[in-house]
Amino acid sequence: MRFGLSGSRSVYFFPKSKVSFLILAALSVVLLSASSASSEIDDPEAYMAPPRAVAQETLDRVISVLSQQDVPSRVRVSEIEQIVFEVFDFATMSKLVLARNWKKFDRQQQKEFVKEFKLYLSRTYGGRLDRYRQTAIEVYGSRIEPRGDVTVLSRVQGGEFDGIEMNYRMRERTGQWKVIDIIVEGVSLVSNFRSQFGEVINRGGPEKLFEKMEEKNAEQRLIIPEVD
Amino acid sequence: MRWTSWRGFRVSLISGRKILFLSLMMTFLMPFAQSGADPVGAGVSGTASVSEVSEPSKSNGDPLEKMNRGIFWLNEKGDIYLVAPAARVWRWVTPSFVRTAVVNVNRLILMPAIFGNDIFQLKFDKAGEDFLRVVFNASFGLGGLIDVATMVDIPQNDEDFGQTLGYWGVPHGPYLMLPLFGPATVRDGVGRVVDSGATFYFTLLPIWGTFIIRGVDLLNLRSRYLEEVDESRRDAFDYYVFMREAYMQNRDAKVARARGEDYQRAADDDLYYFDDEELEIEEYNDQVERKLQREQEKKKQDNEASTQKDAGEVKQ
Repeated sequence: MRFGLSGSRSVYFFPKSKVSFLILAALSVVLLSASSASSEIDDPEAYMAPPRAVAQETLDRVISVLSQQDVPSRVRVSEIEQIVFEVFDFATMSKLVLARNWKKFDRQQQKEFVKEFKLYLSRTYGGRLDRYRQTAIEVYGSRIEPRGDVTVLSRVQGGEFDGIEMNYRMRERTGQWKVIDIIVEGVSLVSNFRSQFGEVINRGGPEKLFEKMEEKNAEQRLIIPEVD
Repeated sequence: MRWTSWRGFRVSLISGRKILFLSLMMTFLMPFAQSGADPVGAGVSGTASVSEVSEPSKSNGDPLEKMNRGIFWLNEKGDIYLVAPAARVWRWVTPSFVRTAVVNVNRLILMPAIFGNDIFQLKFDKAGEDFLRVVFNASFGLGGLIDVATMVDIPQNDEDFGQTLGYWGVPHGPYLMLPLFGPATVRDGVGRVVDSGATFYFTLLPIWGTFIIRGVDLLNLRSRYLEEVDESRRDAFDYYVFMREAYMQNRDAKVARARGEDYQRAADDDLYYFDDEELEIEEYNDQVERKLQREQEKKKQDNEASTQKDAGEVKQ
C-alpha cells in the first residue's frame, strides 16, 4: 500500500517517517468515513447504550466470579473461560489477527484456526484474570468508531494496577454486541497477535503457526486441567 | 561547588556513564539505521508474496531487528538467571508496604523530570499538579514514603522527554533494544538520557549510593511483575515481537495522548477492516458463528452439570 498524496503532504509535519505517513493516510481515510458514519447515527447515547451494557455486565460477572474465594481456582478459571466464550467474537478476531494471511488459509484451516485461537485466548486470559482479586473496574465512557464499532473505556481501580486503562472494541453482528479487541494502555491485542502471527507465518508458514498454537494450548491444558 | 567538579560529574547518577554509552551507541547506530530501512524490513527476508503479507508500518519500525534480537537474547538470559530470581527473593523478604513505599519514594525522586517535561509540553496545569504532588508527598508523605497526593486525588503524570520530543513532532525512529535498559527507540533512548539529567542531585551521593538506589528501584519494580512476565514469555508466539509491539504501541499511544490526538482512531482502518473481502468473510463468519453458538450452548449445558458436580465435591 502506498499513500503518495497524504505522504507528501505530511512532510511538513513528520519528516522522513513512513510510519507517520501511514498513520496520517489512515487518519485521513478515517476522517472521511467518520463524517459519513456520524450522520447515520442520530442518537449516539442510545446507540452506545447496548454495547456499554454488555461490557458492564461482563465485567460485573467476571468480578463476581473472581470474588468467590471458596471455590477452587480451576472452577473460577473455567467460569471466566465461559464468559470469554460468550462475549468475544472469535471469528472476526481470527480474521483480524491473520489479516492478509486469512485469505491464504483454506476453509478447513480457517475453521481450525478459529477453534484453536478461541481455546488459546480463553485459557490464557482465564488463567491470568484469576490472579486479580481485589480490583474493581470502572466503565467511565465510550465512543463511536468511524464505521459503527463502539469502544468502551474502562479503568482499573485499586490494587497494584490502579489506573490502568482498558478499552474494549465492540462490533454488532447478528444483533449482538461482541468484543473484537482489547486495548490495554494503548496496546491492542489484535495488533500484537497480528504481528506475532505474521512473523511466525513468514518464517515457517501456516503449518508452523498451527504447530505452535497446539503446543501452547497443550501447555495450558497441563496448567489448568479441563473441567469437562 | 562540589557536584560540578570532575569527580562529581563522573559520579553523576550513572548518568555520566549512561550518557557516554548511549551517545556512543546513537552515533554508531544512526547511519546504520537509515541504510537498513528497506521497504520490507531487514528481519523479514522473503519473496514478493511475503512483502505483500507483512505489515509495512510494523517491520519498518525495526530495521535493526537482527542486532536487537541479539541484545534481547542477552537481556533475557540476564533476567531469567539473575534479575528475576533476585526480585523473587526481594518480594519474599519484604512486606508489601515496604515495596509500595519504595515505589513511592522513587516516583518522588523522578518528579523533577516529569515536571520539566510538563513545562516543555506547555502543560502548565499538569505542571501545577506535579508541583503539588511533590509538596504533599515530601511533607505529609514523610519524604515520599506515603503517596498522600493520590489520596487527595492529585493524579500521577508520566511525561518524559521521549514524549516531549514526540509532542513536538519528532518521529520515534528505529526500535532499539538496549542492553540492561530494555526496549526503546532512538528517540526514547535520547529522552531517557535527558531525563536522567533531571536527577542531578544524585551527584551529591557517592557512586555506590546511586547504584544502591537505582538497584533497589529496579529490583522492586521487577518484583511487581514476576507473574506477568512469566506468563507473557510462556504465552507469546514470538516474545521479541510481543515486546516490541507492546512497547511501540504503548509509546505511540502516550505520545498521541500528549499531543491530544486519538491513536486508536489513527490506526483504525488498517487494523479493523478489510474492504475488498468484507462481504465474503462476513458471510463465512456468520456460518462459523452459528456453528459456534450451537457448540457453545452444548458446552454450557455440559459445563453447568460439571460445575455443580465440582461444587458438590468441594462441600464434601
